[in-house]
Amino acid sequence: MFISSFGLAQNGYWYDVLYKVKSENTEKFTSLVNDYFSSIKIQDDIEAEFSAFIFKSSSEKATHLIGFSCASSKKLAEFKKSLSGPGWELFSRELLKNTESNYTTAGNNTHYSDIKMVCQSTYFCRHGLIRLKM
Amino acid sequence: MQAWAYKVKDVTNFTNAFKKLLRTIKPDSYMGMGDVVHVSGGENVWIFKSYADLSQVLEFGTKNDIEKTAYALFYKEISQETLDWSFTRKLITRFK
Repeated sequence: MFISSFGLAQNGYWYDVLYKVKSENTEKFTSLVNDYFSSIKIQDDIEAEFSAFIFKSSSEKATHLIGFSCASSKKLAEFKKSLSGPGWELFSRELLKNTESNYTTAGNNTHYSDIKMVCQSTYFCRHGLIRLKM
Repeated sequence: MQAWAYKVKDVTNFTNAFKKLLRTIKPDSYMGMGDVVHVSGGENVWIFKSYADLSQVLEFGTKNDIEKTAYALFYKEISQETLDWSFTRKLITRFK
Protein backbone atom coordinates (compact mmCIF):
# COMPACT_ATOMS: atom_id res chain seq x y z
CA MET A 1 0.00 0.00 0.00
CA PHE A 2 1.28 3.44 -0.89
CA ILE A 3 0.05 6.38 1.08
CA SER A 4 0.25 9.75 -0.56
CA SER A 5 -0.13 13.23 0.77
CA PHE A 6 -0.55 15.02 -2.55
CA GLY A 7 -3.94 16.24 -1.49
CA LEU A 8 -2.69 18.12 1.53
CA ALA A 9 -4.29 21.53 1.35
CA GLN A 10 -3.66 24.84 3.08
CA ASN A 11 -7.27 25.03 4.10
CA GLY A 12 -10.12 22.63 3.72
CA TYR A 13 -13.82 23.29 3.34
CA TRP A 14 -16.42 20.66 3.97
CA TYR A 15 -20.05 19.96 4.52
CA ASP A 16 -21.62 16.87 5.99
CA VAL A 17 -25.10 15.43 5.85
CA LEU A 18 -25.86 13.34 8.91
CA TYR A 19 -28.64 10.76 8.97
CA LYS A 20 -30.32 8.78 11.67
CA VAL A 21 -30.98 5.61 9.75
CA LYS A 22 -33.78 3.28 10.78
CA SER A 23 -31.92 0.28 12.12
CA GLU A 24 -33.88 -2.18 10.02
CA ASN A 25 -33.03 -0.16 6.89
CA THR A 26 -29.28 0.17 7.31
CA GLU A 27 -28.47 -2.26 4.52
CA LYS A 28 -30.87 -0.56 2.10
CA PHE A 29 -29.57 2.87 3.04
CA THR A 30 -25.96 1.79 2.52
CA SER A 31 -26.81 0.30 -0.83
CA LEU A 32 -28.60 3.46 -1.99
CA VAL A 33 -25.69 5.70 -1.02
CA ASN A 34 -23.04 3.48 -2.56
CA ASP A 35 -25.01 3.01 -5.78
CA TYR A 36 -25.80 6.68 -6.26
CA PHE A 37 -22.40 8.19 -5.55
CA SER A 38 -20.66 5.49 -7.53
CA SER A 39 -22.82 6.37 -10.50
CA ILE A 40 -22.11 10.09 -10.72
CA LYS A 41 -18.99 11.96 -11.77
CA ILE A 42 -17.13 13.39 -8.80
CA GLN A 43 -14.27 15.71 -9.68
CA ASP A 44 -10.81 14.71 -8.52
CA ASP A 45 -10.53 17.65 -6.16
CA ILE A 46 -13.76 16.76 -4.38
CA GLU A 47 -13.58 14.17 -1.66
CA ALA A 48 -16.79 12.28 -0.99
CA GLU A 49 -16.96 9.88 1.92
CA PHE A 50 -19.62 7.71 3.50
CA SER A 51 -19.11 6.77 7.14
CA ALA A 52 -20.88 5.21 10.07
CA PHE A 53 -20.59 6.37 13.65
CA ILE A 54 -19.14 3.68 15.86
CA PHE A 55 -18.84 5.72 19.07
CA LYS A 56 -20.63 8.95 19.91
CA SER A 57 -21.86 11.06 22.74
CA SER A 58 -25.46 10.59 23.81
CA SER A 59 -26.59 13.88 22.29
CA GLU A 60 -25.67 12.76 18.77
CA LYS A 61 -28.58 10.83 17.27
CA ALA A 62 -27.20 10.38 13.75
CA THR A 63 -25.86 6.99 12.72
CA HIS A 64 -24.32 7.74 9.32
CA LEU A 65 -22.60 10.62 7.60
CA ILE A 66 -22.01 11.58 3.99
CA GLY A 67 -19.23 14.16 3.81
CA PHE A 68 -17.91 16.28 0.98
CA SER A 69 -14.78 18.40 1.04
CA CYS A 70 -12.43 20.38 -1.11
CA ALA A 71 -9.50 22.73 -0.77
CA SER A 72 -11.54 25.26 -2.74
CA SER A 73 -14.76 26.62 -1.27
CA LYS A 74 -15.84 27.69 -4.75
CA LYS A 75 -15.43 24.21 -6.20
CA LEU A 76 -17.19 22.67 -3.23
CA ALA A 77 -20.09 25.05 -3.72
CA GLU A 78 -20.22 24.17 -7.41
CA PHE A 79 -20.25 20.49 -6.58
CA LYS A 80 -23.10 20.95 -4.12
CA LYS A 81 -25.03 22.84 -6.76
CA SER A 82 -24.49 19.99 -9.20
CA LEU A 83 -26.37 17.61 -6.92
CA SER A 84 -29.72 18.30 -8.50
CA GLY A 85 -32.10 17.04 -11.15
CA PRO A 86 -34.51 14.11 -11.37
CA GLY A 87 -31.91 11.48 -10.43
CA TRP A 88 -30.85 13.39 -7.35
CA GLU A 89 -34.43 14.04 -6.34
CA LEU A 90 -35.32 10.37 -6.67
CA PHE A 91 -32.25 9.35 -4.70
CA SER A 92 -33.04 11.85 -1.96
CA ARG A 93 -36.62 10.68 -1.66
CA GLU A 94 -35.58 7.02 -1.44
CA LEU A 95 -32.88 7.85 1.07
CA LEU A 96 -35.28 9.68 3.37
CA LYS A 97 -37.64 6.71 3.38
CA ASN A 98 -34.93 4.83 5.25
CA THR A 99 -34.13 7.50 7.81
CA GLU A 100 -35.75 9.03 10.86
CA SER A 101 -34.04 12.41 10.64
CA ASN A 102 -31.15 14.25 9.10
CA TYR A 103 -29.27 17.52 9.28
CA THR A 104 -26.47 19.26 7.47
CA THR A 105 -23.45 21.02 8.87
CA ALA A 106 -20.46 22.76 7.34
CA GLY A 107 -17.05 23.95 8.36
CA ASN A 108 -13.41 24.25 7.58
CA ASN A 109 -10.01 23.15 8.76
CA THR A 110 -7.83 26.05 9.82
CA HIS A 111 -5.00 24.55 11.84
CA TYR A 112 -3.71 21.02 11.50
CA SER A 113 -0.74 18.79 11.97
CA ASP A 114 2.02 18.76 9.40
CA ILE A 115 2.16 15.11 8.53
CA LYS A 116 2.83 13.17 5.38
CA MET A 117 0.62 10.16 5.86
CA VAL A 118 -2.32 9.23 7.97
CA CYS A 119 -4.65 6.49 7.23
CA GLN A 120 -5.26 3.12 5.78
CA SER A 121 -8.07 1.96 3.62
CA THR A 122 -11.02 1.74 5.92
CA TYR A 123 -10.47 4.43 8.49
CA PHE A 124 -11.03 8.05 8.06
CA CYS A 125 -9.06 10.60 6.14
CA ARG A 126 -10.51 13.98 6.94
CA HIS A 127 -12.39 15.47 4.08
CA GLY A 128 -10.17 15.67 1.12
CA LEU A 129 -7.01 16.87 2.66
CA ILE A 130 -5.18 13.60 2.50
CA ARG A 131 -5.76 11.00 -0.12
CA LEU A 132 -4.88 7.40 -0.38
CA LYS A 133 -3.63 5.18 -3.16
CA MET A 134 -3.91 1.43 -2.84
CA MET B 1 -11.69 9.75 12.87
CA GLN B 2 -12.66 11.28 16.15
CA ALA B 3 -14.22 14.70 16.41
CA TRP B 4 -15.01 16.97 19.33
CA ALA B 5 -17.22 20.02 18.97
CA TYR B 6 -17.00 22.93 21.39
CA LYS B 7 -18.99 26.01 22.15
CA VAL B 8 -16.09 28.43 22.30
CA LYS B 9 -16.39 31.94 23.70
CA ASP B 10 -12.74 32.95 23.23
CA VAL B 11 -11.78 31.55 19.84
CA THR B 12 -8.40 33.31 19.79
CA ASN B 13 -7.38 31.77 23.09
CA PHE B 14 -8.67 28.35 21.98
CA THR B 15 -6.79 28.57 18.68
CA ASN B 16 -3.56 29.60 20.35
CA ALA B 17 -3.85 26.79 22.87
CA PHE B 18 -4.46 24.27 20.12
CA LYS B 19 -1.55 25.53 18.01
CA LYS B 20 0.69 25.24 21.06
CA LEU B 21 -0.52 21.67 21.58
CA LEU B 22 0.21 20.75 17.97
CA ARG B 23 3.70 22.26 18.11
CA THR B 24 4.48 20.33 21.27
CA ILE B 25 3.14 16.87 20.60
CA LYS B 26 3.92 16.64 16.87
CA PRO B 27 1.13 14.11 16.23
CA ASP B 28 1.82 11.14 14.00
CA SER B 29 -1.66 11.29 12.55
CA TYR B 30 -3.76 13.98 10.98
CA MET B 31 -5.06 16.26 13.70
CA GLY B 32 -6.56 19.68 13.39
CA MET B 33 -9.21 22.18 14.25
CA GLY B 34 -11.57 24.45 12.39
CA ASP B 35 -14.81 26.33 12.36
CA VAL B 36 -18.14 24.59 12.23
CA VAL B 37 -21.59 26.03 11.59
CA HIS B 38 -25.18 24.88 11.48
CA VAL B 39 -24.81 22.45 14.34
CA SER B 40 -27.92 22.23 16.44
CA GLY B 41 -26.28 22.97 19.77
CA GLY B 42 -24.54 26.16 18.74
CA GLU B 43 -21.04 24.66 18.56
CA ASN B 44 -18.55 26.80 16.66
CA VAL B 45 -15.20 25.01 16.81
CA TRP B 46 -14.28 21.42 16.17
CA ILE B 47 -11.16 19.36 16.73
CA PHE B 48 -10.45 16.17 14.85
CA LYS B 49 -7.90 13.41 14.85
CA SER B 50 -7.50 10.52 12.45
CA TYR B 51 -6.41 6.99 13.16
CA ALA B 52 -5.13 4.17 11.02
CA ASP B 53 -7.45 1.59 12.50
CA LEU B 54 -9.81 0.83 15.35
CA SER B 55 -6.98 -0.38 17.53
CA GLN B 56 -5.40 3.06 17.41
CA VAL B 57 -8.75 4.62 18.24
CA LEU B 58 -9.01 2.50 21.35
CA GLU B 59 -5.44 3.27 22.36
CA PHE B 60 -6.05 7.00 22.26
CA GLY B 61 -3.96 8.68 24.86
CA THR B 62 -0.69 10.36 25.54
CA LYS B 63 2.48 8.56 24.53
CA ASN B 64 4.93 10.18 26.94
CA ASP B 65 5.31 12.80 29.67
CA ILE B 66 5.77 15.61 27.17
CA GLU B 67 2.40 14.81 25.60
CA LYS B 68 0.75 14.40 28.98
CA THR B 69 1.97 17.85 30.00
CA ALA B 70 0.95 19.37 26.67
CA TYR B 71 -2.55 17.95 26.81
CA ALA B 72 -2.94 18.97 30.44
CA LEU B 73 -1.94 22.53 29.56
CA PHE B 74 -4.29 22.56 26.57
CA TYR B 75 -7.27 21.41 28.61
CA LYS B 76 -6.39 23.93 31.32
CA GLU B 77 -6.20 26.76 28.80
CA ILE B 78 -9.59 25.90 27.28
CA SER B 79 -11.24 25.05 30.59
CA GLN B 80 -13.72 27.91 30.19
CA GLU B 81 -15.07 26.39 26.98
CA THR B 82 -17.82 23.81 26.68
CA LEU B 83 -17.44 20.45 24.98
CA ASP B 84 -20.80 19.72 23.41
CA TRP B 85 -20.38 16.42 21.61
CA SER B 86 -17.89 13.97 20.23
CA PHE B 87 -17.94 10.99 17.92
CA THR B 88 -15.81 8.39 16.21
CA ARG B 89 -16.70 7.43 12.71
CA LYS B 90 -15.53 4.65 10.44
CA LEU B 91 -15.20 5.06 6.72
CA ILE B 92 -17.48 2.82 4.68
CA THR B 93 -16.85 4.11 1.18
CA ARG B 94 -14.69 6.78 -0.41
CA PHE B 95 -16.17 7.68 -3.78
CA LYS B 96 -13.66 8.20 -6.56
